[in-house]
Amino acid sequence: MKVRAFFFASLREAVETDVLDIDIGDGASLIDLRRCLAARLREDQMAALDAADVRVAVNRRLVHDGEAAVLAAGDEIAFMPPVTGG
Amino acid sequence: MSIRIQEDDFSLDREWDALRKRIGGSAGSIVAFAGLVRERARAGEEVSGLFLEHYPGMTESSMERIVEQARGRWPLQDVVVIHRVGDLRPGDQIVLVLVASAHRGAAFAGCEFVMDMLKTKAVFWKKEVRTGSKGTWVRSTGDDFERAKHWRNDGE
Repeated sequence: MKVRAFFFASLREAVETDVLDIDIGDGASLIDLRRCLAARLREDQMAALDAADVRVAVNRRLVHDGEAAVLAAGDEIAFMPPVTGG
Repeated sequence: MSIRIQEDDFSLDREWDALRKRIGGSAGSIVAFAGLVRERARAGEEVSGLFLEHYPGMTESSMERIVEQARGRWPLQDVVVIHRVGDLRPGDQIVLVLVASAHRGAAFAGCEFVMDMLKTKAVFWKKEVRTGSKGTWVRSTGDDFERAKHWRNDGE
């Protein structure tokens, strides 16, 4: 199945793109997605995505309860550094 | 109620008049807050501007949630939040919050709450741009988090 990974702000700069289309097996989770990304990205890029303060959103909702939940085709996964508005 | 994200500047006059028209005689007060781009970062160094990024769809919901929370705590007649994105220069307006309520206490508190939450919970990213360098992504400060936290502890 196909999913899309989006990267914002400092993570967009680290990964050097704002979006990656990813082909991943049916039933894959966010943990599998990280594995997939690790195969495509450099180590320093992956380290930026794996930082403790990075939040992940699936279809514009923050993931609160770990990354084992199963993704669906067409899901939009966003990697977000700490926010600062106002 | 009006919650917007836009690249263009906003006019306090225009928003004020539209809000007054909406509330009619139902509110006894409006509190307004506008945030501007400072020419110096917290550490004192000069910045040539700010770049603001958002996540369309998600940022709007994060702002709506903040306004809902404010309305859950105080009797607010109407709230306006306008947040700009894109390239901004020192002195430019970034954010406008208008809060209308029957009495000033709720309007002051509601306005401050919305701003404190925008600083720590709204989905925006802000980069300080400097001439001749790549710039720095801004992080919320300890003060921002303290201000957001005190709303959880004051038992209102």
